Amino acid sequence: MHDVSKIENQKIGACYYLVRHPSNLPIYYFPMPGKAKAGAMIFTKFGSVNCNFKTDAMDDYMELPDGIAHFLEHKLFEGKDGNAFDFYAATGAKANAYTSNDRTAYYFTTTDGFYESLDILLRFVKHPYFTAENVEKEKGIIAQEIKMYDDEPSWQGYLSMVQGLYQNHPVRIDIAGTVESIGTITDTMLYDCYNAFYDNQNMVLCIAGDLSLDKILQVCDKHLGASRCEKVQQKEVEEPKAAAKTEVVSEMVVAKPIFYLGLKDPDNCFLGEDFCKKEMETELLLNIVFGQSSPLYKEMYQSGLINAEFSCDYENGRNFGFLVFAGESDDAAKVQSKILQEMKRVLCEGINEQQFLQARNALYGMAVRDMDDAYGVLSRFVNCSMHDIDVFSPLHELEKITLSDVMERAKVWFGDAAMTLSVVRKKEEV
Amino acid sequence: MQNIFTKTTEIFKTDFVSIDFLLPLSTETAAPLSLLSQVLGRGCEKYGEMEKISAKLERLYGAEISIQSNRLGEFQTLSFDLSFLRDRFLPDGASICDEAVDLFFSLIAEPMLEKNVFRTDFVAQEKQNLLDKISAVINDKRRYALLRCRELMFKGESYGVFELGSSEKIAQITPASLYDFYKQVLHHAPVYVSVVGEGEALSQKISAKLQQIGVAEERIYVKEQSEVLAKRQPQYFEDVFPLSQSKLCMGFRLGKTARDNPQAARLFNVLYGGSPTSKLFMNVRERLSLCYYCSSMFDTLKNVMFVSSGISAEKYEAAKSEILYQLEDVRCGKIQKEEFDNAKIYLLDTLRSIKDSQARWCALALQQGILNKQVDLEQMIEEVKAVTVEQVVKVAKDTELDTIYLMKGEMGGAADA
Repeated sequence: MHDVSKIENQKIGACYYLVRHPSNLPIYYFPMPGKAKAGAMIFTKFGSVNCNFKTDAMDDYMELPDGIAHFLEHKLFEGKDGNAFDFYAATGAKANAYTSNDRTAYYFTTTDGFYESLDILLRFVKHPYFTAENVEKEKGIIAQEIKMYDDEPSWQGYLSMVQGLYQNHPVRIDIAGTVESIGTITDTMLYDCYNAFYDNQNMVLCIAGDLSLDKILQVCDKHLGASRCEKVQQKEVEEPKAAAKTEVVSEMVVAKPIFYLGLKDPDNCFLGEDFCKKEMETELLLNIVFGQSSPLYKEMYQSGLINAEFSCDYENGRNFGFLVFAGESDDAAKVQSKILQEMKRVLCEGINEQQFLQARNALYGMAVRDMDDAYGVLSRFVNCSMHDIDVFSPLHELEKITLSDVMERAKVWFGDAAMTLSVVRKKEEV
Repeated sequence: MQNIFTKTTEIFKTDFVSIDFLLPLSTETAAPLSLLSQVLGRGCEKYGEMEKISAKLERLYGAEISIQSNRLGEFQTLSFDLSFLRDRFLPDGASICDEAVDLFFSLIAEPMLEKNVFRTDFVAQEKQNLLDKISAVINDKRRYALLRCRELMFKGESYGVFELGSSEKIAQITPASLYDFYKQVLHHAPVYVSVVGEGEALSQKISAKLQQIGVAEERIYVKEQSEVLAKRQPQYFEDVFPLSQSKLCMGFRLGKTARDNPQAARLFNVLYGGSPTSKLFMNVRERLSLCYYCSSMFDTLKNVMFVSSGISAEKYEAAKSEILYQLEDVRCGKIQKEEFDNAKIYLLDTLRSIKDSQARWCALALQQGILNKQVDLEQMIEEVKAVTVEQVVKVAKDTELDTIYLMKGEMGGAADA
């Protein structure tokens, strides 16, 4: 008999089940009646920010080469009896994985053979197979992936911004590493990382679709062994308030210059309901002040300073967060100064009720739409789990937040947050 | 009023409407059509300029309207899409359908004008944005290589026309000429309409609005191609860029077999390079580690296939050989049963996935519309199931390499792993 709770949201006619599995792996199931596609995503709280670790059994911290989490992700598609894609091929499932700063996720979506595909997902993720030979082969493939990203102005611009914004925090490490750093990876190292970070207590399984929870649990029971329940520590890192560099310029093959303007989050809460409230206040604030209905957007767009590529987002993880303004402009410095000016103006003049209400409506709509698609639902569960919040919390917070909450949040962001402007432009002709 | 493809279904939280005007792809109309898609979004008489339109959409619980111009085979579209939450998912008994539809049609049929033509500032600003978009194509290297390959392969043909237009044609456009062009499109261009969600009642509203506007009744269809393959020696082109990775794109023309049996052609594409267990992925990437990606893409409306791969410059010959070698394997019938069955399963999953996406239903309806065929997903699925190995081999035998394009990366002195 499994420990299952059901959590409902009547307003949007949705619910999900949480299973506290004996293996210590939390399992979420979000029913989607009538949908053709179903999907599953299993993720671990291990990413590029985990650059060293120590368990109780170790004498000292082990330093990890940049890019190891991403490398491990690639290798988990290979098992003793073949490649995961060979097995997914028989069910027709579309499978993939990604590594980001603080998480690695493996997933598939399919319109048929869901339980067989779930079996494959758990089999490969829970049974690592690393050999010296298969590690060497992967180096060639990942080296090509790294070079592909080396040529991408958008990735390089973004990375330069993050590296400018943070002095010590490992969020500044490039997720795939470098050709040199991955060259040092061995199969033993991969096993050490796997054992430390791929324990059930550090992972979450999310499932969405028109399925049977009993059948899901039958597959899970087959593959989920006991958790080692080891404590895994990482060295503390002091991140000063100030940015490492306030400005970075790179030259690449790019048309109009592109820019990334980052603001480091002055508030260090990234977990729980307090974070959920902060996140919703921030999303509302960004929508009101920098969104497409804002006076600032209109002014910058009409004058040709920005174009439809302009965006503003709140990027965050379990222990970091920053705002990113991104776009194309011939004068990124002017964009930055307009943004700063607008922040001051909002702090003086405030936001009106109408702007607040319409932003709230828009965010409500987005939250509901996100849950109409299997992949969207799974991503939402991952994001919420990473911050220890319930998947319906954002909607609940949205109902409670007031205009003055948003203004208080504005005082934090628009006060004296550290800033970095990264610009990528083409080589000046000599 | 002509047919509106209506799909009534309860599985989505939104209602979705797609209205697509079509013109044949041509150097004369590409620029104005692209520019029109941008200018129309700048404002409408009833609701005001773009920030007021955005504000209204936000108030309508994040309703979304997009106005785009895309290529579709040898056509170019001017597409208007609308999606909004259905009443039962809105708080406090709100209802937004009529307001959303009204805003949608204001944008389509009542643009903001100045002296009876488009506003001078809108046209000037969007011309600059369009020029920037054209220059920005270089930012996505993989896409750039594909565009160059297509442009070179179909030089002089409508399929080779770049849908954003050219800077010369853009410069020639005036607010008056653009407005005249707009009226032509609105009242005379063939139009395809799809509604997915609540169904009939919404379709009736859309139909009534279109009738008020006075859109064209006639349809336009994909023309029968000449079956004679332009047999020529494969052309080779290269451009050199300061990049660490080279991008290879190879264009292939498929023949009559593919045209007569589009599902066999699609299956051939999946088997050859359209999945992670395809011949290209398994050999060029997995077995030979020559690249991070190597895949094929098939355009059923033009019967052409493109293979794309990111490689180191010095691996070009090896990659090209392997890509052609794998095609030869398919031609010789070197296809294992498991390989074939898996390609079918993959394609069936892709087709079935359409049921979960309103946008993809509309795209399917449009594609079937211009092929003058019914929208029958279940039948397409049955047709795929019935494809045989022999049919796929026949498609491969009728496939000829036409053009190779290499975006050659040369970084001074960089050593490759």
